[in-house]
Amino acid sequence: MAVANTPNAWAQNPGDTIITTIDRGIAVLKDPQLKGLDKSVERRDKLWDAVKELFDFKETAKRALGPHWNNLSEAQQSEFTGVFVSVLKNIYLSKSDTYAGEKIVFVREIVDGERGKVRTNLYISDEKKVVVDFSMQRTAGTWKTYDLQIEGVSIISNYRSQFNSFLSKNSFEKLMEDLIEKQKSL
Amino acid sequence: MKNKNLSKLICLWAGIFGLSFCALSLPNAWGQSSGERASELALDDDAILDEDFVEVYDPLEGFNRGVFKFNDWVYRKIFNPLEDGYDFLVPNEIQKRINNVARLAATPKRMFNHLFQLKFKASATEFSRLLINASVGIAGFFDPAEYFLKLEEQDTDFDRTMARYGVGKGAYLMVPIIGPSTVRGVLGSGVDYFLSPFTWFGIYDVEEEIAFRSFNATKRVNSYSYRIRNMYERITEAAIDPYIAVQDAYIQHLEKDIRDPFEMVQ
Repeated sequence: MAVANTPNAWAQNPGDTIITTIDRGIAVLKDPQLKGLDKSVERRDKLWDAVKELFDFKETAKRALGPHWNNLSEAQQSEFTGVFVSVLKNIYLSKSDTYAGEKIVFVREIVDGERGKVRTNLYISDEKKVVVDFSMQRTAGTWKTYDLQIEGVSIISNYRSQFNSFLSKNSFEKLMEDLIEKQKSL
Repeated sequence: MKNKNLSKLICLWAGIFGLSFCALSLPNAWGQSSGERASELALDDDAILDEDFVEVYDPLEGFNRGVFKFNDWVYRKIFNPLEDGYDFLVPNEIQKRINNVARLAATPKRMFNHLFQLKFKASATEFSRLLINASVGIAGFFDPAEYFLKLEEQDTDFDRTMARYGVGKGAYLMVPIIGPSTVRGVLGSGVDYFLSPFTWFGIYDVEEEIAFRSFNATKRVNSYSYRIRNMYERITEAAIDPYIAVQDAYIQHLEKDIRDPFEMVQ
């Protein structure tokens, strides 16, 4: 069966990659020297440095645009990737300000060749957990994330639906304008 | 009226106790034959790891967008302040208890729909949860079934029952106040209404009608304060087109069970 742990002992499993990254991120959030509202900019920067290697930005952007990606020039693709990633980054990093010791627990992983899924549970309280899945792809021996599903809702599919609807009525230039405005508002 | 209801209640309880022993002793083989399903699906790698497009049929988009705007206003201007007031007045611990009772009252809906979907194990889990939480959990105030026995609530409804038997979603609908749904979802909630204990025990009694309605309102504020507000705000805040973002999230969430790769390979 294709779905099994990778036999390559030298390569990390996607689950290990997720867990080590989360541990690095939580270490930043728990750092007593970075606590407090006045440190939020510094803390967000450090957190970003700790976790950014987990993500494959180009893959994320490409999947979010779906079929429209191929209609763009390389310059447009990288322009879009930059702004889109910055929007995502700002939204999710700002959520970290309210971190109150929530635990994230590894549940399972599925590995299938160069792709994988990692299921984790985020415990908001003792009684309430949120299921968070990471979609992973291995490029040059390294596992990277290109999507998150929170309680079954894929962030990237959600944007793909929006971009698809938007681009059926508007131009790519208008999309970039709106994205840049969104980036500024965050 | 009260005596009649009491006898109904006793009959129901006797029935539940009788059946629950069968339910608790159901062998695992009665559950889904997931092993078989897994190997079948695992051969098709793409089915497991591909996130495909969520197909939405939205012929009423203009109308729906109008309702979406109205609902957004209601959520922000009425529900949020209401919820803040409720939060201020009712301590968190008590909110949790009320929430637990509301969840217990919705057990028949989940139990019967799992049964309709031939998911006997999930239905039996709901049975066991009902028994344990209604008794040891003091009419649902506490959730010992989950806390001590790791019996987690298995959510489902008639909408998902229809989906299992191949009934299409139909058009997407933004329902005033309630929020996103589909034609199938609205029909499903009509059926689920008859699977509510409040409907069984004399809905035509005026006194109870009022009790039922006020309970529903509490439930609404409660579940809203627990889940929806956070999710709704997160999705709309991060969106380029909040209407499509909410629509997509609703449909993805509705279909998460049939798309779950971890369910497929279990």
